[in-house]
Amino acid sequence: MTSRDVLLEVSDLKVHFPVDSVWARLRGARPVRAVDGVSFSVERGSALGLVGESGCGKTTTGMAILRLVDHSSGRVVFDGENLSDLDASAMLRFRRRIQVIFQDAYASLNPRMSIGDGLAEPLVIHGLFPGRRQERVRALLDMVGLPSHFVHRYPHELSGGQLQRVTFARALAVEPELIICDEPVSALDVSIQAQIVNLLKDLQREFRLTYVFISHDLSVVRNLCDRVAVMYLGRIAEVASRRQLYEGAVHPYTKALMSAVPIPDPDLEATRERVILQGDLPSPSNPPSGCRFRTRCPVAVDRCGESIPELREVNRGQWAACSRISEFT
Amino acid sequence: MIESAGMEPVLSVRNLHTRFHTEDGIVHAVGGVSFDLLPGKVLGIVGESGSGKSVTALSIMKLVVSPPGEVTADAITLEGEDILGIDEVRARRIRGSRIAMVFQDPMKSLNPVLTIGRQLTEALREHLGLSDRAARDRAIELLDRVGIPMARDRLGDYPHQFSGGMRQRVMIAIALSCNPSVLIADEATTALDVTIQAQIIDLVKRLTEDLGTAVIWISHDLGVVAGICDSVAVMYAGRIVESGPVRDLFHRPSHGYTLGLLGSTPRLDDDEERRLQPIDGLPPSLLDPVPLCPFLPRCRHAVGACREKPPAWRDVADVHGTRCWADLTPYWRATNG
Repeated sequence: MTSRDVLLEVSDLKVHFPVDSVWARLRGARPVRAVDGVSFSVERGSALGLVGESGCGKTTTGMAILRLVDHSSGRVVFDGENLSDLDASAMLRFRRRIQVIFQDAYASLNPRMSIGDGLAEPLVIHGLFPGRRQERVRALLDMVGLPSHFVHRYPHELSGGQLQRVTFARALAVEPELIICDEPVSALDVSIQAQIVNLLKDLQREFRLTYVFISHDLSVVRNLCDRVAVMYLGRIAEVASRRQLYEGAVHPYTKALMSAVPIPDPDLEATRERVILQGDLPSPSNPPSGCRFRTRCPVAVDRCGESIPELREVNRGQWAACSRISEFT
Repeated sequence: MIESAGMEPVLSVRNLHTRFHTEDGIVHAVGGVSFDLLPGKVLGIVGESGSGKSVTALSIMKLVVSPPGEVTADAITLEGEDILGIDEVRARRIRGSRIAMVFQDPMKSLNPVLTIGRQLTEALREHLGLSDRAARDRAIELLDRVGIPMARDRLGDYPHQFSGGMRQRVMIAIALSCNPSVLIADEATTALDVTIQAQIIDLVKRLTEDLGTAVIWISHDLGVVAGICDSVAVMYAGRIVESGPVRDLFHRPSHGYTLGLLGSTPRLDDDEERRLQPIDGLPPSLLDPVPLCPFLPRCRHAVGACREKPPAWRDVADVHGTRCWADLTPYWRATNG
């Protein structure tokens, strides 16, 4: 086996949002611990899925990697360089190498800029392809499967799927190594979603891109990602290779989450065992003591409230944070 | 389309057309939809954005504003009574009492400045003529039934004090409060996280089975539909293109669009090497409906007849029909894994 070529390493990342208002603090409001000790690494050329439900901290983790939000503690190491203490100008060098695409493609494009101008802008900012920018823009449109006359179009003239292709072309413009994809196909209809998923796969292979793919959709993640990290309330519950996770999840939360995902097969749906979790997600400003998941966990015992379980390797490459894990494996 | 095998349908729709008169022209949102809903059964309506699923529901509920909307049909019958031509006063008597609806966004469906108790008791007082006290008692019972803890204490709370899943539970309590014979759920779990979605689906299934309510479950999610529905109608460009019993439809998809939808949908139990088969192109404009099959420009399975004449409804199996000329039998095994 060749040595691992780690492009991104996140260790013990914490992002806490303080309560600004004095009055709210006096009333006892506590900081929101959106991300509270997250560690993972991503190998070059691979795709890591970051999955979980609303409020689990997956988007904040992505934003913290990009330094679009400041982290409270922990380290983000990209290609051997610690991004955590870089100033804005030093960070700009890395912004070329780390790009992002968001769920709402229309909101990520300037409505008053033509598609061509929007795609050329990152080239101008980073001083790339001088004198050949028009050519580059047309090549980018071609890469994402759009006709070159789209350079003259404006965002409002395009459909949702076409807009997402444009934001992807814009991310590719500066030849990045890592792309953070934050729910890029969640707003799209399934037939269009499939087009974009295939495009992401093809481009990854062609340009050896590395993805952090943030999504709530476990079925899409299975199709696209090599490794998957499951988050719950600011922490990672389980992280494993795709096969390990989808065929042998060990954490009770991963199991419940998987069992809740509907499968388009009536026979299977009629016979599947479904774990229905009780209650709602607790507030991230006042998480339960010990294991975050214990208030909804079907197998929680008293000692789960005592200490926060650390990630432990249960199988080679499969890590889970559960103090009862030895009883389940 | 869906034959009622001996049973009297609780809701029957024949040749429903809904048009919107806009500045750009007439949008044919629904172009001739017919179906029967049998008592106590769950009918799924699936399709993508703009396929006309929600407008179909709103047209039945008489909630399409006219102008710009215009609803015509050969018949819409609820429990044997023609509700197509009724006036607004009569429609108000029926909505909420005999046919009720749950929408995607409970925050938009609930009034933010009224307490949950007030909104829950409204229908009870209005339709069932209960006294304030009786309505209150019934409201507590309903909240309890949809799984809201400490129901008595929560009657005075406002919608923002509930989580998304809890709000949807309140909406379901309101919808089922007068024991309607038909419940229309329009993307009722789409905005919810999967673990909460599983709770809500479980709840709707249990309650409607107990009460014998027939359900129209509108969704874009084939997985949800596979799990909850007895029969399914697939909509595309304002028309039902295929319908049938849920198992038969998933195992023997008989319209190019249904096959395309199944091919585009990633599955939790997928083979890792599976490559999704997207549907090329975009849905058609509804401004100028074509006489031929609306799916033709995107269809991979089109045959000669598709380019010559509009597809006629044909049966492929017992109560399973399609509006497609192509023979898709060779592809059945592919979708069955």
